[in-house]
Amino acid sequence: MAKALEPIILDLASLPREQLGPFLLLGLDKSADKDQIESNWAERLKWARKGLIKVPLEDINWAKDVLNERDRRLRADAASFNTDLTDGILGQLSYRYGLAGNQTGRKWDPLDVEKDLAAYDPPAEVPDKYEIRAAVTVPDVPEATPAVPALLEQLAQSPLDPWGYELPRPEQSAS
Amino acid sequence: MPRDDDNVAVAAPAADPRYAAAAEVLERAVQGGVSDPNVLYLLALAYKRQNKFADARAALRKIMKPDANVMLQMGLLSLKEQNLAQAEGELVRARDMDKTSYEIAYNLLLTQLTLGKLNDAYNELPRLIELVTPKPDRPATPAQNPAERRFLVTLVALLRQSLKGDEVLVTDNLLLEMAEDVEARLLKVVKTLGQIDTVFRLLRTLANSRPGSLAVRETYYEAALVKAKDLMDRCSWTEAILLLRPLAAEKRVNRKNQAALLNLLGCCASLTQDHDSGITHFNAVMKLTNDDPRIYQNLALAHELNGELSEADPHWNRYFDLLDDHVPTPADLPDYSNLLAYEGLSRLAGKYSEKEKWSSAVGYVQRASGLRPNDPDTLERLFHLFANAKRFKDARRTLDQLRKLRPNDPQLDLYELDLVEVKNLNDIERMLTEIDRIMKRFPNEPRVEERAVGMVHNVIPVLGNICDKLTDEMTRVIDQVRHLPNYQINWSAVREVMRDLLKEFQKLRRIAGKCSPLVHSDDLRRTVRDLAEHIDKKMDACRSMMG
Repeated sequence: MAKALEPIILDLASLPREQLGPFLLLGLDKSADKDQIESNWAERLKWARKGLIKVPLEDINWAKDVLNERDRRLRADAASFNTDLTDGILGQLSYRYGLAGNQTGRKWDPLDVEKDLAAYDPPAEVPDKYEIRAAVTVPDVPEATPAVPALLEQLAQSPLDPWGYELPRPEQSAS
Repeated sequence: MPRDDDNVAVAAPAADPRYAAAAEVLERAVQGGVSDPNVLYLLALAYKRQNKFADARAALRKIMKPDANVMLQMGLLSLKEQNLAQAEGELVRARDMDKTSYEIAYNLLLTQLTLGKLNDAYNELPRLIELVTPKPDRPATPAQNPAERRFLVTLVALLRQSLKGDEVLVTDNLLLEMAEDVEARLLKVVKTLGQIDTVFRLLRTLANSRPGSLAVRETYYEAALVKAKDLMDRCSWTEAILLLRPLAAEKRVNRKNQAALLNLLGCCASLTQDHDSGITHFNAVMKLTNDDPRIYQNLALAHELNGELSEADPHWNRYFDLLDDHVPTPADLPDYSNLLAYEGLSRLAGKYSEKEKWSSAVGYVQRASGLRPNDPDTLERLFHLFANAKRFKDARRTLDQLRKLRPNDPQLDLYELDLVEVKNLNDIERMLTEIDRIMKRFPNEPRVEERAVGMVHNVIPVLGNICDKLTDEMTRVIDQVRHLPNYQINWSAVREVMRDLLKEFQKLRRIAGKCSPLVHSDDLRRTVRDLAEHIDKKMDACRSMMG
């Protein structure tokens, strides 16, 4: 049986770069800002060098130059086609399908499962709190400062927040 | 259960400060020599929850013997960083270490789909289906439910059909008789893959399998639009046309998407110089949208490129009417819409001027002048267009406005002369006298000099024409005199004609003499000198005939 005929794509001559305009050459919406211009320009340069697009490097650089000069950009805007409508529907779809910003990006959330280490007991020697308490010698409070015992009492009664505790820096503890 | 939300939150929420504190404690422990894998794992999680992915990865890498969960965490970090190839490698290692983990297998499947590795994903699916199938001797896990299994089995069928190619008829009942919830889940998952080639391919298969499903149709239509945009970004206009054309007649999708598709088709057609098709598509978009300025601009441009300036005219005007703050503009360029309108109007005025369609050009510059009422350059341009369009009253009014804005501009005196209609030699003589007066008033003023020279330059051919006419008249009289017998010649009439001709030649000679000091180029000077000599000879001839 004869092999089915493959459709032949005839590439018709496209417009000269001045009529194509810098926006189409860099794949930008007309509202693109400087960062987007820079990013798309860099991307197109890579594509052109890898032969992924047929646009000459010279045209890519030309497009960037035009867009970076306000008056030339305005002239180009006035004379070039809009691929997206005013409501930006194409841009929204491109973003939704992960095409925006020049890179494909997944939009799905991976499943995350972490080890349950709630019962994990670190293999470190933890001193016994009762022994430590017994070893602490509390000095007598001098009678000349009668408010101190009351303040200490108040401090001892206040709730302790382990997360609020600021660990001393190594250099501080060394000094 | 997996979450297949359409959009993952872009900005990460602010991390709980406790994670920073925990990371600090754990980091100290690690610095102190602790190499316990759980400590490192906890440290990695503390970093991950603060979105410090590099630090988290560094902590995980310190684990001497990573287990499946450590590899899963590394894979998740790679996914967060959108490094899919690396994520795949890590997830494959995780899967090899733990073949019972549904989460690992599911993440690996979606990563491979996102990478466009349909074959690998297809091969991965049977294992995943086994994991969601409840075992009689064990309690069911949350993933082991019929819905999950149905979804995965249908995904296998979809991948199988897609790998066969679109030309193969769909016979799989799983696809043909898919339940609505499975279809919805499939669409959600496919839409979020983020790799438009894969998304488009799978949705095309799904659309072929389920031609009656509106949801599938709509999603496929959206994917086709994005794919076409991708092709256009690579300047592959013809391929984009081939992709979009079969969808152009689709009426079941929402109007916004239809408009976007027809607009893209119109752009591609015009970009491949098929402006007629472009115009047809843009006109179709017009019916679907509500006064979108961008469509009016596209339509006007397509007409313009098709050489139909007059057809473009109403669309341009509507475009400028609609060009307001609703049109998206670059955030870093303030007042862009107004600047764009001015630039567009000036551009069109230039186009019409080139074609000497002065009244259309006047219309656009008048509108531009409305945007910048006190801009002398615009007024100057408007003045010239009025003068060219022979609207001298308007031109004079504009010149008066211009005088107020540029009171000391010497050129404006010369502009006044543009408003003098040159009909005869007296007009030319008066004009040259004025030019001479203005040049004396503003000596060494290059702009005046340049403009004066330009005006004189225009006068010289007119002088040449008049000289030729007078010469023809004189030659005719001389011929008659030569061919008639002496008694038939009315000598008094001949002398009268010659006297009149001499007067005209003398006037012409005087004007040529006035031109002479006003021209600077050698060529022009020579032309004027030749003309003067020619006139002198004719004057002599007149005198000789007068006896």
